[in-house]
Order: sequence, then C-alpha cells, then structure tokens
Amino acid sequence: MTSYPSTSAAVWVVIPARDNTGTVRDVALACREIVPNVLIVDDGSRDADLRALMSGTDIPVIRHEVNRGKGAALLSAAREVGKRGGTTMISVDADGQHFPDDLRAFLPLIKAEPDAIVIGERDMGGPNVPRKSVFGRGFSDFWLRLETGLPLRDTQSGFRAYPVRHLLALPVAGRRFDFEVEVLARAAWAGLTVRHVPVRVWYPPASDRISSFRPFMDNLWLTHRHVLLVLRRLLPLPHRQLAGAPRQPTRKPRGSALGFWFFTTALRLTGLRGAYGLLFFVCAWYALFDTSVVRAALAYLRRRFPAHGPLRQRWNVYRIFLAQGRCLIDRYHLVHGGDRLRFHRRNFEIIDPLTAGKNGFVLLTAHVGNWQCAMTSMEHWNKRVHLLMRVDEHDLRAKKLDLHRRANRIGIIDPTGYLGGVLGVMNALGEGDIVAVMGDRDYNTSRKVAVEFFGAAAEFPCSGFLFAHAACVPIAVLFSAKTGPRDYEVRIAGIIGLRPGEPKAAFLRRGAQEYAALLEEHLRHHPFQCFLFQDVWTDAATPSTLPPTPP
Amino acid sequence: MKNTDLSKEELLPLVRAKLKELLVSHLALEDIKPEEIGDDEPIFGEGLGLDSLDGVEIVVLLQRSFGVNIKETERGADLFRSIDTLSNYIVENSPHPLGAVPPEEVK
Repeated sequence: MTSYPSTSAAVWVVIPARDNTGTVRDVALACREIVPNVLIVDDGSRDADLRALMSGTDIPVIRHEVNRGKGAALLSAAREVGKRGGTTMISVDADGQHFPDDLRAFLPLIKAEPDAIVIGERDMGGPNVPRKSVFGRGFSDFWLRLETGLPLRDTQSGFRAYPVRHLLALPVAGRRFDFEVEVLARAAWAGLTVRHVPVRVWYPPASDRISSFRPFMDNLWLTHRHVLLVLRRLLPLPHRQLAGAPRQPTRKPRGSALGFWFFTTALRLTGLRGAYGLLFFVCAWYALFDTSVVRAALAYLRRRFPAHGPLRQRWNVYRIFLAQGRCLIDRYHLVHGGDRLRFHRRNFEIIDPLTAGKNGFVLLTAHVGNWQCAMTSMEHWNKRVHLLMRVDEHDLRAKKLDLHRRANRIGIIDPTGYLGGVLGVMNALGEGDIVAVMGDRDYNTSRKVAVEFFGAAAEFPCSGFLFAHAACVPIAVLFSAKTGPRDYEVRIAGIIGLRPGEPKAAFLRRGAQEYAALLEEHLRHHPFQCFLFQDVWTDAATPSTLPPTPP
Repeated sequence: MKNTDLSKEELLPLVRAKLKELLVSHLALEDIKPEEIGDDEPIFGEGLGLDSLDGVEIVVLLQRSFGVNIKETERGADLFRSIDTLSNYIVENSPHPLGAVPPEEVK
C-alpha cells in the first residue's frame, strides 16, 4: 500500500504508550501505512521493552525511564518531531481504540490550516463503549465550554493533530491526562483555531482493556485543572497570543455570558464575602505560577516600590491581583442588581461649570480602581456620555452599564471602527456631549507622548489630548478606587484646560504630563489598584515582552 | 447657499487644489507638495500615510475651512477614500466650497 499522497515529512504520527505491548506494534505499523513518519514515546513502561518490540521497523522509540504522564509524553514527542523537521503531529492512542485509516481525514484539514488543532471527534455509538467514557466526554465538553466560550466537542479525545511549534509555546501546566483538556483551553485563549473531524472508535470488552487512566486520581487531577482554568478565565488578565496564530473568529472575550452565569451563581450562593474568599487561592496560584501576568504587573511595581526586594514584589503582585479580582466581583454584583456598594463622589463640584455649560468635554480616566462601576456616576450629569470602547466588548459592558435603560444617556463609540471612531468622537464633542476615553489605552494608534511617570520616562497615548485640542474643549480627569469593603470613591482628580493660542504639540506635552502627575498621585494613595498591565516606561534595559493590553 | 456662482464641474478642480493645500499645511506634510498629491490617492494608510488621529485634524479642517460637518459617521469610509471623494462631498455640502468660512460660522 502506498502512503496518502498529501503527507510529507512535515506530518508525524506520535503514539504515547505505557505497557500497551499487545497493541502498540500493530497500531504503529498500521499508522505507518498511512503516514510515513511515526514516533512512539514509551512513557516508563514497566513490563515491556518497546524498543525491542519495534526492532526490525524504522519506527523510532523515545523513552521516559519513569512514568511522567501522557502530557509529558506528548511534549517529548513534540520536541522530537520538531528536531526531525516535523511541523504537525497527530497523536494516536496505543491501545488500539483509534482506527489508523481515520488519519486520512486529518490530512486535508492540516494542509488547509496548519496552525489549527484538529480534534478527532469519536463516534461513541459503537459496541463496548463504557458509560463512564460517554459521561466523561460530556462533562469535559461542558467545562471546556465554560473555560473558552467555544462549543468544543470530544475534548477528551486523544486522537488529535497539533501544530508542533504552537504546542510547545503554550503555557500548559498539566502533565498527565489533564494536559489534553488544558491544552485546548490554552490554545483557544492564545487565539488558535480548533477544528473537529469525525473518527471511529473501538473499545475492547471490559476484561481486555488496558488503560493508564486511574479513575480516582486522574479524575481528581482533571477536576482540579478545570476549576483552575475556569477561575483563570474569569480573572481579567491578558492571555499571551501566539504569533502567526489566526484569531479565532468565534472567540468570545473573557467573561462571556457563561462567565457571567458562573460568577452570579457563585455570588448568589456565597455572597460577596464568599466570592472574595475564593480569590485568595486563585490569585495566589497566579501570582506564583503565571509568569506573563506577573511580569506585566512588575513593570509598574518596580517603579512604584523601587526599594522592595523580589519577595516583597511578588507579594505586591498578589495584592494587585486580589484588588482586581474584588473589583471584578463587585462589577458582577452591580450588574446583577446588587445594591451593597456605595459610591462616594468626590470633587465633582469642580466640573459643575462644564456639565452645566453647552460645550462638551473629554472625560479622561485610566485602568485604576473600578472604572466601569465609576461610569455609573455619570448618570447624574445632564449630558450625554459616549464611551470610546471596543465593539466586541459591547454586549458585556452594555449589560454592566445597563445601557438599554439609559440608552439615551450613554452611547458607545467603537475605536475599532473606521478611523478609530474619530468621526463619532468629534461629532459628539461638537454636539456638546461628553466623550470618555481611557488615557492609558492606545486606541489602535502608535502615537504616544513622552512624560515623566514615577520618576522615569514613560509614554502615554495622546488620543484624548488630541481630541480635546482639536475640538477646543477641556479635559476632566476621573479616577476611582475601592476604599472599603462596600465603598468606592469616584474622584474628579483635576481639569486640564486649553490655554489660549496654545500650540497642539505644547498642549499634548503639558496635558499628558498633568494627567501622568494626577495618575501618579492617585496611585500613591491606592498603589494596589493599578491595572495598567502594560509597560509604559521607555527606560527599560530589556525589550518589553509584555502581553497585549487586557480589554 | 453657496458663496459662489461656479458650477460643480468648475468648482471641483478648485476644491481639490484647496483641499490638498490645506492638508499639506495643516498636517505638516513636510516632504509633499500639494500638486504631487493624486486626485484618487487614498488619504489614509498607504496613500498620504496618514493615520486615524490625523482624521481629527481633517475633521476640524473641514469644519473650519469649508463649514462641513460629517454627521453620517457610517459614510466616513466612502467620503475619506480619496481627495476626489472628499472634494465631491465638499462641493455638494459646503456653503463655502472654496474655503474661507467666516469665523462666526465655525461651529
């Protein structure tokens, strides 16, 4: 028999095996008929010498001397395949449950989308399919749906195609059976596409089955992993996107409708205090293990607390995560009609002349405190407010701000729309409305203005200042902070006005510096409510490796 | 009411020239002369190399020089496609298509 015509050196079949002496040789040879490159990973077999078993064939075997788990075996396989010039690997179980013939169904999909993960979706209607496998599959699919917002199917299937480069780049912590579910969540978060292909499955009668799956311990690991993944999804921190990976078009932002449901259920069952309690554990885990978000937070903390050593800084990171988690929980509480939060407006009298006048103004805020909740303070103003925010966050934020009820008072301008929403912004300001802009968010433009921020050179986006200068309107700076278990302060930190005849460049410099000074002052009082997660400083000795800004 | 008796065909080349001149001066396009800008050249992106924030300046320029406010934001992509499309819009909507809006009319 000849190989399938579209296979090449780029595609490998990998077979993680442990004590599958009776089946692995046949499985490997049958796969070899379809795809010329086959690799076996012997994950610490105790009773069998798989190398000897495969002697006389050209199928290589790599071995873990002790059992390290299926995830570790797949990663070893990926490294080996990468070394041998392969770009895609299809994993096949060694127990013979998969039909090597079905490899053919993967090949056209791999060719069409080499960056995608392809799941072989098993037809569970055949004989001998254990009930617990059917249940386990549904259970796993449910969790993955919660974690990714995507309708992924057969998420426990071991018959899959992985792009080797991306597989090795994903920050997957699980090394046992939990690897296979975690890798899907991480892939979806990193923007990789996940596809499905129908495959058959064969289960031997129960008495003949050899499985490395330990029902109690491995289910415990799986549950532990799912809980962490769900909580990670609800934590509003950025996920690193893989370069070259296409954005999943159906990917929803973190905190989708399911996220809402999960959180509100948790809140209903345990109340605010209980939900806060959960955060102690979740945030500790991330402060210890999630290096990408820790790095992002440290950029700020090193400037805010230059005298603190590494351990103290890690503690500070933990405090920032806790603060952000609490703000997030409060937001959910507020959206769902909770009334246990109090908002104290401070210094609002200084903008009375602006809100009472017929001209518009720019309301400049930042990712500090609970900026979304602070927006509720705007309903007291006798002016329409337009929020410059991304359209893919619409449904969520719309819910948060109850836009339907206040449809006439709060509008949204999409910065990803034509010209970054510039026309909408200028029209709104021309009509005498308020436009709310995040002063620390670069809305699809690389234009920055240099300022001094915490004693070092930093760059802030200049959109808000440009809008104000062009429309000849002042800027009001608004920050919020959580000041007690149920209390928030929403403060007008200052007004940055135009001086008569001030040139644009001069206003941008002065305005941005005044804004940076107000932000610095705010963070001196509320140091752990800074959720910039973006290195704004330009004096860094090493190039920034930060993840993209969170939504 | 337009402050000119010229027909649309007569106005268009004049408006294009005025628009190019204003773009170069307002946006400080140092290496470009107005006459080097093509009528069908894209204004943003590749063409003149302007980005969305330059749009802020152009919106102001249209208001102050031509008395034009583009209220239909959804038409933005069509109107700002090129000097030609923008000039057409000015001729059709501006009370002062040759520029020089009296200061009291600037909104």
